[in-house]
Amino acid sequence: MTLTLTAQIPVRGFDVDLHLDAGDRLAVLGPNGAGKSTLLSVLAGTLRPDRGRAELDGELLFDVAGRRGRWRPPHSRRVALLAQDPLLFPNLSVLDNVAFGPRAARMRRAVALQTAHHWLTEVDAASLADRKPGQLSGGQAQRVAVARAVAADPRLLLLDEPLAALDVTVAPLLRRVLRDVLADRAALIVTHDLLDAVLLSNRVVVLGDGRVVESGATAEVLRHPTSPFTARLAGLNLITGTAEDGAVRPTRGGPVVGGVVRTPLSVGEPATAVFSPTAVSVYLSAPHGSPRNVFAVTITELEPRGDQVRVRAATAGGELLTADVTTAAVGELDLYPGARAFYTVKATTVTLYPS
Amino acid sequence: MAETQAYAGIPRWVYLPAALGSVFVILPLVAMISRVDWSRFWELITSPSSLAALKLSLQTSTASTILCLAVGIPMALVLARTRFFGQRVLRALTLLPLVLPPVVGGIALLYTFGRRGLLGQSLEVLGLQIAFTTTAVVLAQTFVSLPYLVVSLEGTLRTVGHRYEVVAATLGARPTMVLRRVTLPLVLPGLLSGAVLSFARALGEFGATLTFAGSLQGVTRTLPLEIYLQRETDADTAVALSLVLVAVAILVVGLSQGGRRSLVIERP
Repeated sequence: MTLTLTAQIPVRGFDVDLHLDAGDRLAVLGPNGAGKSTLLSVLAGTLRPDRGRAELDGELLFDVAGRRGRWRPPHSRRVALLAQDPLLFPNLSVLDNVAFGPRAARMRRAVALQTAHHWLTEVDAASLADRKPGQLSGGQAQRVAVARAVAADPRLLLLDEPLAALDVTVAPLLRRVLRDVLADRAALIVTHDLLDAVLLSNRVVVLGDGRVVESGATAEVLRHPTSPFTARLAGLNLITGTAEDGAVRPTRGGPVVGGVVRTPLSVGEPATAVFSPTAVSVYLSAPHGSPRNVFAVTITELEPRGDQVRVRAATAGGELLTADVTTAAVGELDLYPGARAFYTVKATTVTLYPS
Repeated sequence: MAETQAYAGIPRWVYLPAALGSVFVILPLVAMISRVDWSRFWELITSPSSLAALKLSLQTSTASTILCLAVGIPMALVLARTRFFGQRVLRALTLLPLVLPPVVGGIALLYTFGRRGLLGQSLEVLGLQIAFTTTAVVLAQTFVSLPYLVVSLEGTLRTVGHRYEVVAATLGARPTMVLRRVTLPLVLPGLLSGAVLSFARALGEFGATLTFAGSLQGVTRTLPLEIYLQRETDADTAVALSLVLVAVAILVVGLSQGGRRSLVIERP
């Protein structure tokens, strides 16, 4: 399976280019309103871009410019959509729901039911076959929805936050089911959840304001994010600015941030400094000596995480930084939202690279 | 099953006008029933003219309901699921019979299908005469009752939304299959209540029928027309037939309510 897509919708500020190779499972990340849903609608065929072209397995999905062009309707694209809500047809039994795709493909009823049964077994829901959707729990319904989507034998599977509506106790089972089902299938997964991105995808694109702001292998993008959104998602601190010699001068002001250059940087080009919250130490007065970066901050939020506390803070320039400290340290330092403090980071734990 | 009393949260004085309103609707029915001559009731409603009117009413109302379904479902689909230039105007115009005096509808139909009407002249050439026939009764009833079906179904279509249809399409279902296996089953309760409403409206149709179809026994004289006619000469028959009409109406509405309840999806 290969997918190439280029689509523009000026009124929504949407302008995206994508390419998926065989076996790619692409996670689509991004803040609300970044264009994730628009991307899904364009691929599913429920939204016609003003201009663009998409090909799936060498077959044209659309090639449009304004009102002219060719446009394949949703039902003949073989692009299945799995939404946040299971949306099982309430009038059909679970088995008939899963057999819906095969039946739509003009499969004989007996064969369609056999296919449906196979996929219900794959998602651990064979025992629910005779029930009506109204008699299922949220997790069961979503598993059946997964079976229904793959039973239609799509060339591309679109998943729109498939785990978002489930509570934490049932999400792991569905995540396992999805992992199995997606193993040898092309998929595009919109998610807010870092764990889903890591477990279900091998590639990531990050959308911001309708454009791709970052893309690459999942592990790589999350380890070295270049956009503030991805850095926050990955739980890393990120400061953008321009490159100096072994440092970044922040766009938002404040002292230059010294660090280790990962890839060659030329002075003056846009650059990013990234460091982990665990590398940050918190002090009440500015420390002296040692090659450290020091940020004067105001604490905004304390978030307990096991035996650690994630301390969120903002600099005067509006840079959002987090530090992971022990619960004991929070007590000793008497940290609270609104308190002033100093974050220090050793230059050796800061990575610099071009953005 | 006993229902627990939830806090209603409406002011207490609201009950007074609400009760007055209910009495206002129910009292005339009681008054009418009190005037029924029960000793001759059966004889009155089984007279040849009464039976002819009842039979004609049921036949024409059924025919007009089928006609309403045949064109009303497509109309509701187009109004609820598509957007085109002039749609709001078109909706307003097609729903006009809701607020139009039926007699005006009858006159409009007469100038369309009458002998010198817009289409009537061409139909006449083909040897078809519509005005003052049973077909005219069905057309008059359809004219006034169609909007009830369209409004009810369009509302249900909008409430149910588009999302199930999108999922069905991405599973490979062509639009006709989506309509048959997803949309129509989902809107069945709204469709049913719309059909019942338009049947009831057709059953009670008077003004447009009289104007466009006249009042010919066994051909165009439906039950409401028969009642109006008898009221002049034989009040007892009019009252008895009115009660029959009330009974039929209650039966139809009751049946549709029962049908609706069974469609509710049970949750564990």
